[in-house]
Amino acid sequence: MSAGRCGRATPPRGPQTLYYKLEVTEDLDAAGAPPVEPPPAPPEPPLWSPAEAVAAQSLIAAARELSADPASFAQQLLLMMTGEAVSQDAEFLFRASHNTSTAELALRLFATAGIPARMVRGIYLADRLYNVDPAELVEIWDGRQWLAVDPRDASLGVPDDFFVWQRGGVSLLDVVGGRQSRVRFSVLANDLSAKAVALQAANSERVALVDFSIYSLPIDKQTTFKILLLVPIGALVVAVFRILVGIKTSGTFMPVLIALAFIHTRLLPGILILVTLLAAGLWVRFYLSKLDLLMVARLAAVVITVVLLMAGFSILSYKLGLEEVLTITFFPMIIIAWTIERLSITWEEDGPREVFTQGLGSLFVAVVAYLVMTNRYVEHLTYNFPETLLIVMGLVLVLGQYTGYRLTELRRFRFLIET
Amino acid sequence: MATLLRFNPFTTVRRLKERGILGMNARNVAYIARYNPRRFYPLVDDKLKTKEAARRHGIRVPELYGVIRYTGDLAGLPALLEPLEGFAVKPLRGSGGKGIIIISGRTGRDFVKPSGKVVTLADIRHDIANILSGVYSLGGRPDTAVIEQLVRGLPYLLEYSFEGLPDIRVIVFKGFPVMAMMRCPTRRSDGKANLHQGAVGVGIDICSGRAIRAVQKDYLVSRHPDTGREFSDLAVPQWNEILLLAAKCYEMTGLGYLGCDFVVDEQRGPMILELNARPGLAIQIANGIGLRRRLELVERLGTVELHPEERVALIRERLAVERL
Repeated sequence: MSAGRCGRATPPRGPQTLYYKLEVTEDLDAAGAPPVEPPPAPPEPPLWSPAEAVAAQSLIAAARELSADPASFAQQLLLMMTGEAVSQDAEFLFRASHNTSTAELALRLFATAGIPARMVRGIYLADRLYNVDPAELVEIWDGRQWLAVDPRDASLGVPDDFFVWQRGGVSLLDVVGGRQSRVRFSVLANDLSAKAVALQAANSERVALVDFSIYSLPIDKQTTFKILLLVPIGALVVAVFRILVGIKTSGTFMPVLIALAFIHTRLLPGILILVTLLAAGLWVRFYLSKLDLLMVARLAAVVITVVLLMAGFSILSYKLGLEEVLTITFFPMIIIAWTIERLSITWEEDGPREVFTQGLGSLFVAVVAYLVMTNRYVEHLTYNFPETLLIVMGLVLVLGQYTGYRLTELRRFRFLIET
Repeated sequence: MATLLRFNPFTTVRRLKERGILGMNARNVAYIARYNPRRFYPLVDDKLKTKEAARRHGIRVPELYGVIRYTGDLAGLPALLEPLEGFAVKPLRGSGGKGIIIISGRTGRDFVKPSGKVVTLADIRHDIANILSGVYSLGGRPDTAVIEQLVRGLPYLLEYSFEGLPDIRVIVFKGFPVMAMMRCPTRRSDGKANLHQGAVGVGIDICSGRAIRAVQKDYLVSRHPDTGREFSDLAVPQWNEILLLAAKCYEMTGLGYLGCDFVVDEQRGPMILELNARPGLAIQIANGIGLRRRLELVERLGTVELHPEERVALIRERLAVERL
C-alpha cells in the first residue's frame, strides 16, 4: 500500500484534495468470511414517528410470516423494500425519511425487529470506475455468525467482486477544521502474472532469494527494466538484418532506439511523427549547410531545431485535439538530430537516392524490431526469464561468424552469374 | 515479373559460390579481420602519413609542396606558392571532395583555376583559413591544409573521362596484385570517380593491362557515355609499373588486404593517390570475375619471401595459366 500525505506547518486554505492509493490482488483461495467475533448485544430500538412505527411493524410482520430464521427474514424484508414489488409500507418509509439508502433503512427495521445488524461499506472492483461513492451491504447476526445481505437484490453473502472497506457504521472520514468533505473511490484494473503476485507476497515476507530478483524492484522501476530487457532483442533484429539481409541503416543501432520510441507512441502515429520530424529537420539542415558553420555549432543548431519542431508539433496537435502527437517527446532528440546530420551528409556525398535507401532501410528495421519487441511471448520470456538474454548473446556471437552472402548481395551480384 | 519467378535463392547462392564471388561478410571476417592488423590503419587513413611512408619506400605520390597547420603558417604562403605553376590545396580530413582548390596556371601575380576563373593570393589565403578552421572536416575539428602537386592526367586516359581524372584501383592481397579496374568519371557521376554515383567501372586484365569489360550501374557499356570513346581497345599505359607499385604497398603498409588507387600523370607516370584498408567489392562486377578464387590462389602460394618484382611476375604467370 502506498499513500501520500500532505503535511504543512500552516493549515492550507481553499479546496484540498488528498489521494490515497491502494493496490490489492484477488486471492481466490482465501475465504471471504469475516473474523470470528463475540455475539453482539441486542440492538436499541430506533425512534419512529407514530405513522412510521405502524408501517415498520406491518412490514416486519409481513416478513416474519414468510420467513423461518433471521437470514430468510432479512432476505424477505429486503425483497419488500427493493425490486418491482415494493410494498406500500416500504414506499411510505422511504418517503418519510428522505435521502436514506436502502441499507440504512433496513438497519433501522432490523433494530426494530430486535435483530443485531451492521453496515458494511466497500467498493465493487471493476475496471475504470471513477469518483463513485462507497457501496453498502448489510450484515445481520443470525445467532451464530454475521451474514452479509446485498440490499440491491437481497442475495446472501459478500459478492465476489466486493472489496470490504469498513464494517460498522462509523464515519469513513473525520475532518477537523474543514467542511464539505467527500470521499470518492476510483478503481483501475491491472493484470499481473500469478508469478508476480506470488513473488510480491513472498517479497513482503522477505524471502531471501526473491529479494534479489527483478521483482524486488518497485513496480514503476520494473516497467523501465521491462523495456531495457527488450533492447538486446532489438539489437539482435538489427544484427540479423545487417548481416543476413544486408539492409543499410543510418547508424547501427538507431533503429532500436526508434523502435523503443514506437513502444510509447504506437506504430502508425510514431511513423508519421518520425517522418515529419526528419523531413522538416532535413529541410532546415539544408539551409544550415549554406552557412558553412563549424560542425559542433551546426549539430547544436539541428538539436535546437528538433526541440522546436517537437514543441511546435505538440502544441499544434494538442489544439487540434490529436493527443497521440504528445508522445513525440519519447523520440530521443539527440539521436534524431544525429540522424538528420548523417542523412544530410549522405545526401551531399551520395545523392538523395542513397538517403531514401538508408532512411527506408532504417524505418523498416525499426518497425520489425518494434513488432518483435512488442510480441507478447518475447515480452513474457525476457521479463520473466532475463536469462534468455544469454541465448540472444549466443545468437549474436554465431551471427558474427557468418561469412555467407547477404540476401541483398544475391541481387547485387546477379549479373555475374547470368550466362 | 518473369525474373522474379525464376529467382531461387538457393541456386543463386550455389552459382555465386561456383563463380567465387566474395561477399561482404566473408570479406570482413575472412580477409580484413584476418589480414589487416588494426595498428596499421592510421598509416592509410592519414594522407600525410601515407605520403611520408610512400616516399621512404620509393613509391611515387603527388609531390608535397607544403603543409599549413596553423593560421600563423599562412605568413609563409606567398613564398611557398611563388615558384608553383599548378597545384592543389586539400583539407587533410576532408570528405567528398569538398574544400579542394585546384590551380592550373598563373597570370602574372594571380592564379587561374581549370574553369579559367582568376583568383588572387588573398582569395586562396581566405580559402585556406576556412580549411584550417574545420569547415570541411567531418569531425569539425581544426584541420590541416595540404598543398601538393597538381596531377595532369595522361591525355590518352582523359579520353575515357568526363571532367575528372580516371583512377585505377588495384586490389593487393599479401603483396600480390589480384584484380584491377579503372574508374571513369561521367556527367552522371558529376565528374567523380565514384561507381555508386554512375561512374563507369572498367575491369582491367592483370596480365595484359587491357580492358575486359565496362559496367555502368549494373549495365554493360561499350563506349564512354559522354566522350563516346570505345572501351574495347583500352590498354592502361605503364601497366607493369602500376602492378609493381601496387605490390610494393604491401611492404609499406603491412596490410594483407589492400586497395591502391593510382592516377597516371602526363610527365611523371603512375603515382599512388590513396590507399584503402577496406576496399569495396564492386571491382568484381566491373571484371565479371569473383575475387575469392584469386585470393585462395595467393593463399596456396604460401609464405615464401619474394620481392615485389617476383610477386608481380609470379601472379601474372599463374593467372595466365589458371585462367581464374
